[in-house]
Amino acid sequence: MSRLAALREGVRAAVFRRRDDRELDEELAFHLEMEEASHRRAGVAAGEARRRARIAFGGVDRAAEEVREARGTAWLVDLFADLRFAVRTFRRSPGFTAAALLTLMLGIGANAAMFGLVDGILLRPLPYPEPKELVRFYQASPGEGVEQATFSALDFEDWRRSARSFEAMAAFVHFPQIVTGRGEPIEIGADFVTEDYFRVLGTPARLGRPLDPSDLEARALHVVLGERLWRTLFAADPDAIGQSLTLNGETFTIVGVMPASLRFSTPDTDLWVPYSTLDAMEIGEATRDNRHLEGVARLAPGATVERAGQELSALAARLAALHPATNVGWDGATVLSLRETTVGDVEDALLVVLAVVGFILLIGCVNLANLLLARGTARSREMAIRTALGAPRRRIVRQLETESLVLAVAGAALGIAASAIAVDVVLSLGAGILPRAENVALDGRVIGFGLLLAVATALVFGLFPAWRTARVEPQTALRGGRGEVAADGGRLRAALVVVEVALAVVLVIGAGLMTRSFLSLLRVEPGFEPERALTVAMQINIAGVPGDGVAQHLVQRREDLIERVRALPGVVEVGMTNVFPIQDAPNPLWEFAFADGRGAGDDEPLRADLRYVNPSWFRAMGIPLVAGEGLPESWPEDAPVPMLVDRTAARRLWRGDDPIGTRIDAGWGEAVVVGVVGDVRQVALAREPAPTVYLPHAIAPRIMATMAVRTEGDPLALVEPVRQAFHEVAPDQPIRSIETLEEVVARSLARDRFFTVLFAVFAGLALTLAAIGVYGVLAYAVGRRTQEIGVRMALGASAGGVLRMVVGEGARLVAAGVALGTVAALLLSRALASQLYAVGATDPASFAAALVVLAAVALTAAWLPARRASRIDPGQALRSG
Amino acid sequence: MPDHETSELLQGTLELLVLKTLSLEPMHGWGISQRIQQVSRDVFQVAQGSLYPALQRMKSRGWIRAEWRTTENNRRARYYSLTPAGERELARERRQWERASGAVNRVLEWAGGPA
Repeated sequence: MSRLAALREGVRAAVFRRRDDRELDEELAFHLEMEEASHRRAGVAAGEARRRARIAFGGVDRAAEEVREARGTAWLVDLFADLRFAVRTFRRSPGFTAAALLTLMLGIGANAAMFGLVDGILLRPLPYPEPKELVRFYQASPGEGVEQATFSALDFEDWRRSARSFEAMAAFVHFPQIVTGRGEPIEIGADFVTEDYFRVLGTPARLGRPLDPSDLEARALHVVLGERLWRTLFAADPDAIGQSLTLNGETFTIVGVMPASLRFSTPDTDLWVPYSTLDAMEIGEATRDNRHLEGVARLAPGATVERAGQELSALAARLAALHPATNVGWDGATVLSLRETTVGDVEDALLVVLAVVGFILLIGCVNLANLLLARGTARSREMAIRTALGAPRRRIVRQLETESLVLAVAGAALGIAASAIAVDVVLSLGAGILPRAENVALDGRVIGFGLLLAVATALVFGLFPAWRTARVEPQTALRGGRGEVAADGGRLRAALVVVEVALAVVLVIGAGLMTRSFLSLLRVEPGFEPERALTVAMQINIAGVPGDGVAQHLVQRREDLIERVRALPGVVEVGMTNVFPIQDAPNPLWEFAFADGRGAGDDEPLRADLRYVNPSWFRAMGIPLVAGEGLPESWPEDAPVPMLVDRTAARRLWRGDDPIGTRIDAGWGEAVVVGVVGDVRQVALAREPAPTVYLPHAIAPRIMATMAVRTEGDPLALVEPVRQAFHEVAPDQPIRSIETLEEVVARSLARDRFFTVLFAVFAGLALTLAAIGVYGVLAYAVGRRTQEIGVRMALGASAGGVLRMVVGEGARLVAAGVALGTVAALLLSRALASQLYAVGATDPASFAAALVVLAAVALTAAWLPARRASRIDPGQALRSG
Repeated sequence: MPDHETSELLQGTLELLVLKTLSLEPMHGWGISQRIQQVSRDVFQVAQGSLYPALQRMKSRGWIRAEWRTTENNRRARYYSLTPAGERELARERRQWERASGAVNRVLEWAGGPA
C-alpha cells in the first residue's frame, strides 16, 4: 500500500475513530445474530444457540481490540491523544501557560506586525511598470550644502536635451486648484506636468487617456483626474470623460482618469494639468532663477543612478558657467531612486525595528526553553514512570514536542490577532510619517509569516528541553527526584538571561530618554498661545478676476473675511498670515540691507524669514508686542512701509542696537521698523527661533492665506459659524482645513510621539521578557534544588534565609545584566542624540529611573520562585528523595 | 508492514481464503466465515472472531473495500468486495501458496536417500 493511502486511511481512522468503533460493534453484533439464527434453524434452543454462537466466535472484545489495532493508525491516534493530553496539562498549570502564551503572543505579534509594515512599505514594489528605473532628480548647490532643490524650466529644457542617461525626463509643479461649478467650491491638489510625465511613470489610465505631448504643445485645456476625485465628484461615472471642469475660473476638458495607485507627489494630488497652460502671472517669468519645478525620470537601459547623477551634475556645472547671473552656485545635481525618495526616510528605522523584534522573539524562545526546562524538572518523575512502563524515548519527545507546538500555534493565533491591533495603532500613530501606509494590510502573507514563525519557534524552544527531559534515567529520577536534567546548560541559560536584562536596560533607557525629550517638547513655549484658537487654511479664489485686479482682490477678500469672522459672537480677534507657524514650510530667507549702508561689506548678508500679515495677526495669535508699536492699518503712500521684527532679529541683525526707527532697503523701496514682537517657533517646536520680520500683507498680497481666530471659549464651537461666515462673504471661497491651533501644534509632534511610543512599547516588551526570563531560570533552579533546599531547611535554614538565597541568585543575574546594559546604553544612546530635545543622551535621571524600574521588575520576578522555595516542606522534599 | 512478514501461516492462509471467497461475490463477514467453513469441509476451525482483524488489515492495505448494504432479510450488514489491488494480491498469494505447498508435498513424499 502506498504511503499516501496509508496516511489517508490513518487520518480517516483517527478522525472517524468513534464512528468506526460504532460500526465495528454493529458488524460483530450482526455476525453473532446470524450465527445464532443458523443454530436456531438447526433446532437448538434460544439460550443454547447464543452460547454456541459466542463459542464459535471466540471472544468478542478481543476481536474488537484486534480490529482496532489492525487499523494501523496508532501514530495519529497517539497524536490526538497527545493533543488532548497537552491541553489538559496546560489547563493544570495556568501560570506556566500564561507566561508562555504571553511570551509567544508578544514575540510573534510584534514580528507579524512589523513584517506587515515592512512588507507593505518596503518589500512590495512601487505601483509602476519597471519601478527600478524610476528616479527623482534635483538641482543642487554643493557650496551651500543644498542637495535637493527645485529648478527652472529653462535649465530643465537644457538638461532634457543633453542628458543621455534617461529614457525620458519630466518636470512638474504642485499648484492646488479651486474647482467650481460642481457643488461647493473645493480646493484640490494639482500637478502641472511636462510632456513626458506619464510616459516616465508608465501607469496606464483607469479611464480615457493620460496627458501626452500634443496636449502640452497645443496648450490644451485638458485635465486628468485622480480616481478618488472621479469617485467623489462624478460618482465614478464613465461618462465623465469629455465633460468640463472649472479650475481657478478656467474651463478644462476631462480626458482621462488615473488609478488610485498613482500617488506620486503630494498625497492630496488628484488633478494633472499640462504645464504649458500656466501663465507668467501664476508662476512668474520664465527665467533661470525662477526655480519651481520638481523632476522625475526613467533611466535609459543600462544607466545607473550614480552615472545619471554625475552626468546631470556636469550639465548643471556647464549651465552655471554659461549663465553666471542666474545660476551661480547652482552647479550640481542630485539623482535618487524613486524608492529611496519614497521610503528612504523610514527604511533604516523599519529594518532596525524588524531586527529588534526578531531579537525579542529569539529571547522569547530562550525564555520558553527555560520555562519548559523548569517544567521538565518538575515532570521528571512523570517521564521516569512513563519510561519505566516502557514508553520509548521517541514517543516521549514527540509528546513534549506536541505540547510545544500546541503552545506555539495558540501563541501565534493570539499574536496574529494582537498584530492586527498593533498594525492599526502603528498606522494611526504614524499617519503622515509612514509612506505607502495604504499598502499595509494583514493579509495571507502576514498570517503565513506568523504561522511559519510559530512552527520555527516551537522547534527552537521545544526540541532541546523535550530531548533533555526525555533523557531522564528512570532509576535516578525516581530515586532522587532530581534526575540528570540539571547536568549542563545552566551557565548558558544564565548568560542568556543576563543578555535579556541588558537588552531591556538599553530599551528602557532609550524609552526614558525619548519620553523626557517628548515631555520637554510639550513644555516648549511656541511664542503664541495655542489654547482657544482656530486656524482656517485656504487658497484665495481668484477665478474670474481680471489680471490687473488680482492684487486688489487678494487684499479685499482677506479684509472681508477678517471683518465678517471678527463680528461672530465668541470671537475675540482675527488675524491673517501667508505662512502659518509650524504648519507651513517657510519660504526661502529674504535678503535686505540697511538703508544707511550700515553693515554693508559684512561677510554675513542680512537675512530673515519674511511673513506677510495683517495688523491684528499678533493679537489673534497671542504674540506679544515687546517694544514700539504694532503695524498700522494704513500709512501715507510716499512713506516707507512699516515693518516689525522679532527679538531674535533685533538681537542678531541689529546686534543690540534699537531697531525701532531704522530704515531698510527692501529692493522694491524702503521700510521702517516700527516695533519689536516676541519670538515664535516658526518651523518646529524643537527649532530655536530664527530672525523673522513682518510686513503688512497689503503690499504684496499672496494667494495662500491662513486665518487665526482667537475665541472666548471652546474653539470647536466656532467651526460651523466660521464656515457660515465664509459662505456669506464669498460663496466661491473653499476652505482647505479648519482645525484648532492646538491640533496644529500636536500634529507637528507626531513623529516624536510615534518614536516615543514605539520605544516605550519595545521597552515594555523587553522588560516583560526579561522578567519572564529571570523567573524561568530561577524557577528551574528551585525545582532542581528542591531536595537540597529541603536538606538546608531540615538543618535549620529559615524560610527567610532560603528566600534571600534565591532572590540573591536572581539579583546577581540582574546586576550583571544591568551593568552590561548600562554600558551598552551609554554607547548606543549617542545615536539617539539627534532625536532628543533638551535632554542629554546620557541624561542621569533617565538612566537612574530606568535602572530602578528594571531592578524592581526583575526582583519581583525573582521573588516568585524564591517564595516557592521558602515554602518547601523539608519532610516532603527529603521523602521524595 | 512488519506484521505482514511475521504473519503466521494460518493467518496468511486465512487471507488467501478470504480473497478467494470475495473474488466470487461481495459478502459480509458472517457469510465469509460460513463459506470458508463449507468449502473447506469444516477443516478450518478458526475462531470466527479472528476473521475481523484480518478483514481490517486487508482493508487498510487496499485489497478489499467495505460498504453497508441491506441483506435479503432486510438487515444492515457490512459487505466486503475485492479491489483490483486485491485481485492482484490473490493471484500473487495463490502462486506463492502453490509453490510452498508443492515444496511441502515433495518433502513429505521423499522417502529417504539422496535427493
